[in-house]
Amino acid sequence: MRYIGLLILCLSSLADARPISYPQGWTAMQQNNPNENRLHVHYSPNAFHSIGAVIHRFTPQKQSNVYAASAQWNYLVFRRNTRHSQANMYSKFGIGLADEFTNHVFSTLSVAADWETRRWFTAYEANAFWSDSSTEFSQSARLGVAPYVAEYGALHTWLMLQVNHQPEAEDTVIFTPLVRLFKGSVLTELGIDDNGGILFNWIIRF
Amino acid sequence: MKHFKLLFIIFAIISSIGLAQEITPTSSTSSIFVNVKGMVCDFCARGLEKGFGKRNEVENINIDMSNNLITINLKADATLDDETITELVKSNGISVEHINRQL
Repeated sequence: MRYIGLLILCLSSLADARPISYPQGWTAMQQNNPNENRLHVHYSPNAFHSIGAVIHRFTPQKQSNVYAASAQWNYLVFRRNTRHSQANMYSKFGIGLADEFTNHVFSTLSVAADWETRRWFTAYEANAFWSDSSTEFSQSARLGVAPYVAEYGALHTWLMLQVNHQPEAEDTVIFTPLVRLFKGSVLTELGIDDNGGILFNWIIRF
Repeated sequence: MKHFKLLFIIFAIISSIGLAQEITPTSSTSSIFVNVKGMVCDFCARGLEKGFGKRNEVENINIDMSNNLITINLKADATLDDETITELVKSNGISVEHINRQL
């Protein structure tokens, strides 16, 4: 049960460092690693909120598939714009169902912060998970650099290092170097963690 | 002779009015230059393009991320006030630093 909570949290997601899109925008994003897949579709009525649905499949300890579905609300708590940077703080609240829990219900709460320029990117996220049988905590951080600064509409490339900390897991700290590419409304990420597991994420905004 | 002079003057006045009407364009376009803060990623700018693109007054916009500049090119005889521009930029999570206009 505890492991499942961590799995639900671990893909919640520094990949979507911008969890709210432009006003009236739709976002579809998928995150994948060797044991889990997560699909999240959300709508942003304005630049301060997004609401969406998440479907999650994972295979804890190489056993049979577990499926979870949840609704998620993201909120922009704080933003500071300067000429060359933007800093944000978000809260993300989810409530969902998974067969694995006795009363099937779980909830998640994340607080995320990021600061970026056109050259540097930093992000941090703390996550909490509750079900009838467990309470879990995890956190993650990213540091990224753009080897070149691309103009609007061109291909943007970022080299990033992600670190995940899950105190209750067998492997408490996982490092994942990854490459992020985006052009227009499409973003993809490809990385390999220090256990050799492949990370592949994509985001499309409409 | 006196009549000729008077006729000539009247003719000159009417001609100059006619010429003036021919030369002066019946419509004009303008651009508005908006310096912004916080436009550090393509997604931020894309929202601005969509937002301004929905306005009937706007022909198109140009994004210059290096100079934190949005250029709004208006349609002929269209206007867009500063308050509307500021609100559109702000609704995309970006801040306006200042707005300059040029005919």
